[in-house]
Amino acid sequence: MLACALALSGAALAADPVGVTVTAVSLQDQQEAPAAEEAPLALRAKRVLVAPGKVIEDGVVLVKRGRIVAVGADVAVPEGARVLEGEVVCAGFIDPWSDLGVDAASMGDGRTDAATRVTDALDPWGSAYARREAVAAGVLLTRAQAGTSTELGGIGAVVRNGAEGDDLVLLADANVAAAVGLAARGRAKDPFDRIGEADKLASKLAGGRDYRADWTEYETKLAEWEAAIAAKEKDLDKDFKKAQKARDKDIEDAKKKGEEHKEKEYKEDKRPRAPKYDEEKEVLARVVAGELPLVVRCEGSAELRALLAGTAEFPRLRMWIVGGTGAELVAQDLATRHIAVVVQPTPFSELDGERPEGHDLGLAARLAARGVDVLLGSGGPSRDLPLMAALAVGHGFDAQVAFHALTVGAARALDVAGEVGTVEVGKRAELLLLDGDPLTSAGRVRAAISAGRVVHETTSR
Amino acid sequence: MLNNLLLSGFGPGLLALLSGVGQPRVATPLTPLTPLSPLSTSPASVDAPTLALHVARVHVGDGTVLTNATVVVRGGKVVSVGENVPPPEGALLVELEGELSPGLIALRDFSTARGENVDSTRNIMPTADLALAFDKRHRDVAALSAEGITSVVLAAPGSELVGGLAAVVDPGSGEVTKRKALLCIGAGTRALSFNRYPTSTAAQYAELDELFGAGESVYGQAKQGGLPLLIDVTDRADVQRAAAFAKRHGLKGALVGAIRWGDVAAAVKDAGLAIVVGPIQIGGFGPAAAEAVRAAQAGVKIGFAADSPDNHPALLRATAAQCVRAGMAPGAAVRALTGDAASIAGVADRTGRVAAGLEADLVLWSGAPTDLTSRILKVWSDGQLVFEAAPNASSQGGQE
Repeated sequence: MLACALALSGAALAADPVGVTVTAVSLQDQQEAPAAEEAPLALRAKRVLVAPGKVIEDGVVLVKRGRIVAVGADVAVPEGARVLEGEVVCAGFIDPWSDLGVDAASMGDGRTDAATRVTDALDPWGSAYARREAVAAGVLLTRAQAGTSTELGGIGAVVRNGAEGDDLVLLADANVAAAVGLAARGRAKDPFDRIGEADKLASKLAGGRDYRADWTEYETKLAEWEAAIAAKEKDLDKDFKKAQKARDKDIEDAKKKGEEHKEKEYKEDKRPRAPKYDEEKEVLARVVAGELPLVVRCEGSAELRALLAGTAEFPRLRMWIVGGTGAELVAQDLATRHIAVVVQPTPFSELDGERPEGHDLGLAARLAARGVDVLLGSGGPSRDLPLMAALAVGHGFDAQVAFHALTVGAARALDVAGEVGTVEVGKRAELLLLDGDPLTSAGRVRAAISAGRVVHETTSR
Repeated sequence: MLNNLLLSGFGPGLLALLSGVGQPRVATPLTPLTPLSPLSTSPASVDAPTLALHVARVHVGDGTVLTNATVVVRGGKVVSVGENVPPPEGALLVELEGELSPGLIALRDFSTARGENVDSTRNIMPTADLALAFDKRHRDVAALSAEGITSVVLAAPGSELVGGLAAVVDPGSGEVTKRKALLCIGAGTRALSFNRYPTSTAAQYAELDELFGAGESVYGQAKQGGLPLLIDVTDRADVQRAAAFAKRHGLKGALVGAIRWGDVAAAVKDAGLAIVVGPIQIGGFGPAAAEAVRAAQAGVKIGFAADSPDNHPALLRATAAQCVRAGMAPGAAVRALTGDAASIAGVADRTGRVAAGLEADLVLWSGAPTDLTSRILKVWSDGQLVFEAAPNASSQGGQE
């Protein structure tokens, strides 16, 4: 113990020759102090991919306090800044369909509802190794979700794979998740049950809509009531003495008759009653109003068709599909309603039993060709979403569209496009420094910057 | 019109080749050369017209790349390959855009024969012939062709001590290229079962030593060098044991099934064995690619497996691409996919390289074969077009 303290104060002495009486505790303070005033970070690259299709040659990206403060070819690097150099700088990749950061029991929980918050189930240490691998592959942000195969999985969050503490969550309520037609506890459902789930979801949404309508009605009535009460009170105030006399008389009369005095009833006394508070409906109301996107895991074309039909009555609903192996048959509807599909281009053996027809690496390309907005997700076990994206590109998906899907596209779907997804001033510093163009074999991640810090770095080979 | 007229007299082989060339790139094949001349001068070649495929890059399959190369094909075989050479007189010149490589070789596969040679009672099946399990009409076959795979080693899965005789089959032609190509041995924990002999590693090797010590039938052939082994192993200890076992009996062949090759690569090299790497799942599965690179750098010959249809056959090139990411030279990865794989499978005299005398098993890529973003545009097997990518699959125009 003593030795430890001595060693620590020795280190402190070495670090700060002035602070002779430094103790172990103040050493810690001293180490934390510079972290708060972290030196600016400058990323210098031959190509800065500001956004899909927008490139700055020989550019510099300057990062301060977790945000991008300058981007350009003529940005002066301030003295004391840490400089990292590489071929390409681009926005960190975002995985909208992942299993990272959530404890396994919560992810597989079959009893979640719309109001279940994944932020209550985050466990960045449980999958630390996998998260590190994701960061090394360039996947800096993922959608974390509980109850992934439950009818309603609850509120999903956007989390950083390279952070544990306060920086872990970028957006706590990024979406509400639902699942239609998935097997439950390893047992496939029959077609009627699967399609029925789409109808069930639609009626749940209608419940949310009606709930908000009830509340709106209540609030209107409440306001009316409050106004009426105020007016009546004013009236009463005016003739207060008269009214008091009348009341005294009433009491007297009642006494004489040996009756109980009854207070005069005013119609304004009837206060409107509030609808019963319902947490789940509260959340679903936000979904129907378009305040939170609805993410639906749905595979077969029959279920998708039922889902599209059932949700057509909610014009403000912002929905996207996860999985979508049968989406080709409803592509036109998806394209018209701008419903994105998160495709999983996987060569895995271990699918989740939802796709008897097997792997389909060309799905992303074919959906895109039909005008559907295609996003890409790892779907869980893989940490290397960029490599899966490359595989989709190798099977006909446009490379620029794939890059867009991993950055801006996913950011928009998760409502974080104002914060991340491009290399623009004001955005959060979720950035990658690559050895080559993203998605190519040469595009290895040299450094990853998350929440403004360098969270991964490889030594050059 | 003229094309049609000419093609009609050329037989199915040429028709297939040309129909695969794609509309924009039948680069005026008729102008400088007169395709009819070989027919008129040499009647023997009526059934075998000569084609000169001109392409910017040819991955030969031995690690080298030829630029501005011409590959001359006749009768389903490659006649000559040259850099900066004019097409031979009388050949039909075909301009190809992209990069050409030999057809890929999947060194362990169960396509069309999933579950074959898994026997819960019999553990030693030295004469089981995997070629009998091949069904050329199975839908798996098209998936292999679409991924540029022109040769597949149909092998036992390693769950039996002696799993039988692997066959090399050509999914494109549906033919068995080589029967009894490799003897499949289960020398890892996968071949052990609690209720079937042998139940322990020690008993497993005792049995193997007895079989190969006696040296009868296939075991004798293997010892005399006439039958290479495909030995399934699981962990590093298995690799060491299997290498020592092979050395003890003078056996040649390849190990398959492990992940951590790096630490034990020296023992494998010392035994003169090769390694079949993969399949490496995409992302999140630890050091598999880096371990394969270490083994290759130690001088061990490498090939790849996809284990389809358990996995999508695209995992074959995805496995190679991950090794490239982990530091393997792209040329070495292509060699492992083609030339070295052919020599591991014992068919190097027939396929695996773009070289004179070998079968015209070719793949046209939109870019480098080890880049996953490259598309497979066309695949030929024995000179026959067996796959062609749908044009412009993504509406946003060409990739790259």
